[in-house]
Amino acid sequence: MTSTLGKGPVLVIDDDPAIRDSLETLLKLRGYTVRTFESGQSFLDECAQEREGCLLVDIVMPGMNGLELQKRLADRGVDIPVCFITGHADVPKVIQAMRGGAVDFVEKPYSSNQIVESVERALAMSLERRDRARVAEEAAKAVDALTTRERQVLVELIAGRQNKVAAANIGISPRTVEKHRARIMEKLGARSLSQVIQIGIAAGVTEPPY
Amino acid sequence: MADQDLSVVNARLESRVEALEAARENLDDLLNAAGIPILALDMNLNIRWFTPAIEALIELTPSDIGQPAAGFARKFDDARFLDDARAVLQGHPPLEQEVQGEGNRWYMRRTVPIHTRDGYASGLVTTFVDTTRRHEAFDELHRILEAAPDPTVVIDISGRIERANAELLRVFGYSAKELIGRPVETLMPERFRRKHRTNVRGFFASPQARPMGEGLTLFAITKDGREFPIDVKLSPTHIDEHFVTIGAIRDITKQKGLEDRLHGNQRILERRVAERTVELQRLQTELHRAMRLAELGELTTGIAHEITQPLTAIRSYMEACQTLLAMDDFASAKDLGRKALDQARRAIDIIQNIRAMAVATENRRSAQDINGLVNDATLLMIAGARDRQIEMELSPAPGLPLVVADRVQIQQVLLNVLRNAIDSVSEVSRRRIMVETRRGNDSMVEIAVVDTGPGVPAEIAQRLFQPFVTTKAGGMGIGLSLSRSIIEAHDGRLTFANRHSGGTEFIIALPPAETG
Repeated sequence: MTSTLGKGPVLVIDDDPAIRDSLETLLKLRGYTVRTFESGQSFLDECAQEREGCLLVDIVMPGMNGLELQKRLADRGVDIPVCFITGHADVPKVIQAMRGGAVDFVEKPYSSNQIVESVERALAMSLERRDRARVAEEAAKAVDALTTRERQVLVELIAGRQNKVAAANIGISPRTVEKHRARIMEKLGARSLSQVIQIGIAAGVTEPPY
Repeated sequence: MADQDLSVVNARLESRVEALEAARENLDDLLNAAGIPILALDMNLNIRWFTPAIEALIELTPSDIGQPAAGFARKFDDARFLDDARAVLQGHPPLEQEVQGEGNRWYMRRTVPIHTRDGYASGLVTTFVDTTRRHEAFDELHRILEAAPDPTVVIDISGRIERANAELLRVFGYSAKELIGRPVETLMPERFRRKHRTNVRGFFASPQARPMGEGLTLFAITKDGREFPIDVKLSPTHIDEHFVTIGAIRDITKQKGLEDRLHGNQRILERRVAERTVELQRLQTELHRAMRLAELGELTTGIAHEITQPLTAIRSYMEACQTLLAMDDFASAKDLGRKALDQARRAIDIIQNIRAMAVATENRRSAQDINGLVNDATLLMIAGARDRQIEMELSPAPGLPLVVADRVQIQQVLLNVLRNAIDSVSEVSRRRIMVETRRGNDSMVEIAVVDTGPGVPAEIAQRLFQPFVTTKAGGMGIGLSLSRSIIEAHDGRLTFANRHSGGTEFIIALPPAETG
């Protein structure tokens, strides 16, 4: 089974081979791509840059426990949704995990449906995050193609100012502002002013300090 | 012939007279040389003769012989001088009187009758023996006595008081006249007197300086009947060949009071220590209980975690299995069934390990006196039981054989059973637990714990020894299951029966140790 065929991937990290094997069995039967790891360290060694799919991590493990793994990933800037599985809900650990951005908790002995629900939620989040990242990346690329003057005009547009005000702010004529606006729309491939503003915001354009 | 005879007789007489004269001169020389004042008086108390040394006491010259002795001035203080002389002449035995002369000298005046050959008194002789040295010694003694801070007496060899210092007179309230010459027992309460006289004889038999009545508390009594505790130090001594014993008496009322208070404080301390010990034992028992509960809690969490792992896997496998069966994929389903079964075995192994852990300590077994074991274990529970108004009674059978057992484990089982009994009777008003040891019908040694509780409900009774079965609100239901495992590992039995009189009887039966 290759990862392109299934949903996921779901990355299972648990020290108990029976838990790994049974999770892999039930998730594959539900159509997910599954990879299993026997420790947080082996996951970090093999998939340091993995950003697709979600993690299903046992909170209690010898060596690096689930919470430590979560922190290591955050330190490396790896943004991947994490679901914890746990023997018994230990309130302080739950709080710590939630602060660290955990998507969900599944308490053993869980049913297949409970696991699948949590995995679905995590994968949805993963996709959403990935979409947002892709949009921002494309917008940033487009904005990079603008000249300095055009960027100045874009900032004024995002700030919602009239042509006349923008022209006064930049120190050019309103007619020139009009020309720049047309060029910006063309370069960003936008069909309306509101589209221009969306792309600008996605690219993270903000008012530069004058 | 007659003249011749006469002259012979005369010559003989003369020579006799000469001899007598010589003898008398010798005697005079002797008496003079001895330097002892001697005065001889006749029946009319006229002076008969005297030694020259008498002049220290009476001024006499040889011409005064034949004069009445009463007519001469005496240089010594002696009111009884003439009275004693008269008494002796009338047949009184010799009389003595200590008299003081000039220059602070002292003499023992001794008046002795002189008898004729046929026994009639013909006069008397008075001798004066110089006792100044002895007197000085007694004066020295007197100064020492008066300097002594404690009441002090001087006792003669017959146990009579010869002297007492002013401090003694003050403390005891006597005058010197009332006390001197009286037995020393006058100073002690009636009840000690007889015994003391015996002791005094013993003391004078081998006199040594020592504290009196060592190890005993001695008492003195004053003239007005006040008793007080004393210490006495006895010092035997010779004073100018006169043997006496000096007794220093110390009032130890204050010391005794301190001692008594010290003893009292000690008793209070001992009582407090005893109370604290009981308190500590109670706390220890509670701590043990709390620790056992904490241990149990930890153990339970651990067990739960261990069992959860295979259980989770089994659930996942079986749910996947159902999906596969729905897809008619029997081969895969069978595979998962096998995996699920493996996990079930894993769970069973965990349970068996826990049981084994509880009974794994065979090497700690030794021959045990079951009554001692029961006694120790129940001691731990009695305080807790009393707190809950539970009457606990022990009924040990004598002459039980020893059992080979792990003392700690058997006590844990017994404590567990007792704890159950205590919890059980706490629900009812008549709270009584009896722990009995006995020889069972099949020669097993039995410990029976009988309570007056409500008994075990029928629906629980059949499963009572299974794990996690309990009648208690907060109970774990592990105790009896483990207890039975322990007893069975000892080749014994743990059984129970509801009694028709109400309540429950738990019986721990253990095989007797093989003799020989």
